[in-house]
Amino acid sequence: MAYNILIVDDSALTRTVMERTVRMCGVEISEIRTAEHGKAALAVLEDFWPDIVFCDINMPVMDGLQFVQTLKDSSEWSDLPVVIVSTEGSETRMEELRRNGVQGYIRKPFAPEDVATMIQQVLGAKNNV
Amino acid sequence: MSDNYEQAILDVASHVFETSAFLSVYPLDEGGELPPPDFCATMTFRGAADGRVSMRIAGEVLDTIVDNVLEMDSDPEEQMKRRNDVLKEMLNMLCGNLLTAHFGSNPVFNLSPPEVIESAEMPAPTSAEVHHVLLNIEHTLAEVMFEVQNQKNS
Repeated sequence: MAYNILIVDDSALTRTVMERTVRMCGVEISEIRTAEHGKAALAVLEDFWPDIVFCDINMPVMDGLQFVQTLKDSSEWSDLPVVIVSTEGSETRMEELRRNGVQGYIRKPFAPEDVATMIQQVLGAKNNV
Repeated sequence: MSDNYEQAILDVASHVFETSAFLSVYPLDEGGELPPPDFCATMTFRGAADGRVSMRIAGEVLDTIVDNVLEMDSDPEEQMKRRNDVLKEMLNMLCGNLLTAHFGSNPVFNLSPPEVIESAEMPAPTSAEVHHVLLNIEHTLAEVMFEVQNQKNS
């Protein structure tokens, strides 16, 4: 099975590194789309069905926390797996995000194996449902 | 400034630049003259303490990262946009990781978006607690300033 991936980050550097990393991580990828912030990501979701979303927290226009909350409140996207990719290291905030349905967390800067492990963990769990 | 803070900033900068851009960071060798930094950005944090992290860095380091990751652009305006994107993201990673190194992993901080300072001058310190470190990144001079104020003792 090939997967669709959505990457949401205001940094072109991180979007590019994440896209390359995802393509190299050993999982079959169908399509990767990117967005600069949560609002742009919601527009992408109008005609794209990702299997997993990698999302930053600190972004302009709509940040990652607002984006996750919008997905959770939506009937269409409430089960979409979201992995937060952020510089923030607060376990308190991560616990709050997990309670809001976030599936995982990758700390910036990340190594390729961090992303590969997370994809296998989240998509593996999804496929076992 | 204490050696502990200097070492923490050096360790975090090394981790950020080596992991994300494969660039080496060393303590500044006072004997050598290095090309000066000509780009600067700053960002603030609020939470268990308030404060600011600022970084000055050489354009050639930013160009190296752009070249390695994003590819250089012949349009000067687009190239400047890419340099600034790299500058802001490197500072963002530096700030987030410095806060964890300094305050541990429990406190929650709200970070402002990083801002590029057009003059490329380091902002004047506004806090009582200021940690200032000079670094050698890929044989160019870089400067990091970590300011802490209003630390809450909870």
